[in-house]
Amino acid sequence: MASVTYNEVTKRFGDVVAVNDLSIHVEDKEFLVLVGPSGCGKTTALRILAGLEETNEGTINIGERVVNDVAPKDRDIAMVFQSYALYPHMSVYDNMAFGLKLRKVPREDIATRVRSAAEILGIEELLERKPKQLSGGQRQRVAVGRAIVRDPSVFLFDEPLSNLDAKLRVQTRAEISKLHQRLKATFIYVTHDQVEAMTMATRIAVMNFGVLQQIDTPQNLYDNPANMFVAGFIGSPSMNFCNASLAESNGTLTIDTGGFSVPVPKDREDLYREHVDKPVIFGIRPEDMHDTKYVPPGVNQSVMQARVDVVELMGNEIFVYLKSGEWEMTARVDPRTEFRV
Amino acid sequence: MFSISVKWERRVKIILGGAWMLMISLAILFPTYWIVLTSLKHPKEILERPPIYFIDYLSFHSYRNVWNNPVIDFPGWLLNSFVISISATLIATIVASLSALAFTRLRFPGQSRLGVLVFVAYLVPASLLFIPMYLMLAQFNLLESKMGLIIVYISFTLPFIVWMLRGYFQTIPKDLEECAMIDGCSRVGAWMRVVLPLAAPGIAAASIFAFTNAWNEYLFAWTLGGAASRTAPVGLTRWVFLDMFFWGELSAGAVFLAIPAVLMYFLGQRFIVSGLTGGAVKG
Repeated sequence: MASVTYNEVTKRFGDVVAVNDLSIHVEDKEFLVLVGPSGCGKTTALRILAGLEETNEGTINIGERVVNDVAPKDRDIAMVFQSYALYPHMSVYDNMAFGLKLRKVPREDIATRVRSAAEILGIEELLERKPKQLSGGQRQRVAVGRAIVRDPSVFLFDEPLSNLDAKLRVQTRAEISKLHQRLKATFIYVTHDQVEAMTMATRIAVMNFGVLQQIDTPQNLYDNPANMFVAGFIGSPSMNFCNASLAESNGTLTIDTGGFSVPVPKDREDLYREHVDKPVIFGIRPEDMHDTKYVPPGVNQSVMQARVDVVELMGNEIFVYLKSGEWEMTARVDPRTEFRV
Repeated sequence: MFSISVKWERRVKIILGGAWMLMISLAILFPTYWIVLTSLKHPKEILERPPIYFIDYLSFHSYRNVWNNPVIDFPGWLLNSFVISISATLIATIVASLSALAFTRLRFPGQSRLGVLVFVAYLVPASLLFIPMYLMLAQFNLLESKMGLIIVYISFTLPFIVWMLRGYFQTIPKDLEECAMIDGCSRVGAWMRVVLPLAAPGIAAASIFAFTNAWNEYLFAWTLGGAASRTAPVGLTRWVFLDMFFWGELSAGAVFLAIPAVLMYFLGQRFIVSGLTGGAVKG
């Protein structure tokens, strides 16, 4: 088992900077999720760690060892690809045994390890099949199985769930989390899906344009996003933003958007005071907007008026698209809420 | 107005289509039939008027005469053909596989331009290269040698099969190779264990193409070859003395020549179809 460190890593493809001065330390046995929109450099960062791309600057450590010049096969890692990358000409068993055979593991050991990994993943009866005879979900399991049998220090996942249908994705998500608890290895997982990131990660690293935006636990990212990008990226539906100004009267701070105004909570006043009389951006999460009748207890209320544009009934909740002045926003409200559209 | 029912329209289509196919098949198959027939006729029957289209007894006279002839060493030339074609095929396939891999998998300056150049090289007509080839072989003392012909054939087949294999390798996902490299292979190991087995149909198709190209070649074998490197297609012309054509022997020789190529295509047709379309459709 091992920690992983990116130390001021930069990777350029021609003029494009795919990864820009990235520094991350991943603890041993941690489940780190790299998340961001497509093209943000997260996959490149993973591929650098795997040894499939070279860095232009900076160093990569796995454990104590600097691995920049170490071949992928000698990095003691295993990777699950988005396409699963199962060898089409080999049976499931041979796919899983391939890495062990190359490492000259005795035949009986290979059989034991493949069978026990197959058992963990519930694919014992598929061992003789060829990849093309498997469904997407089964292929995905085989790809994970192939990583498990190698018993590496670090597991790398490159969007492993994105080719699965929605239901299977949720199920497999939980299984990968379980696997992490069971194997007690370092997991580094790349996804563009913030729900995957929130549900599985010990810590999340949010990237955009090759730059690390913030790295923290899921809850801290949600509660204290470092910038507008992180605030907008984490959470679904994403946070509403509108231009506003911050005014002070009689010692209380108020955010005024033109359409409505919101008092700043007492405990935040000192934090915001330096921005008084300056333009600010007001952000509010859809789940923090409620019908006045169904406000949960303990919420610091302020009331706004808005016109309802579109309503999406989800059963357990309602998404309401609102208009207030020139601002459009989304609210995620209690299903008992009543509207006039 | 007159109209026909859908049923009749279908029947007419089948009949017309069938007739058309039959005509094309006849045009293609009749010459082959005629060669086989001539090779099995008795010499006296060959030039009979009106021509004999069906024979009721098989004569192997021509075959015997081709195979066991004190003056004309057809089996020896057939052997030359085999040695030259198989060497050219083996070398061309190995070189083409490696260069196609380099084109699809490595990043190097001028990659795409070089790829186009390879294709342009294929488009240059062989007859244009005839004089430079002759001069080059003369320079290296390779005229009239088997080695000379092998080199010439490799240079002609290489561009096309590099192009063909490039298309084939492009359909093999890069992930597989990268996965193999993480699993424990070196780059070359990943090619050998993962890419090449998957490319086998494409490589088989390429080598069949290279083989038949060299096997059937006449012009260069005739002009650049000599007594020691005479191939069977060139040797066959020995049965033409001035204005005398030994049709039976010529036909029997042609049949001998056709057998390996036909066998190869027959055994490899599965590969040829998937190899030639491999670059076109992603499966």
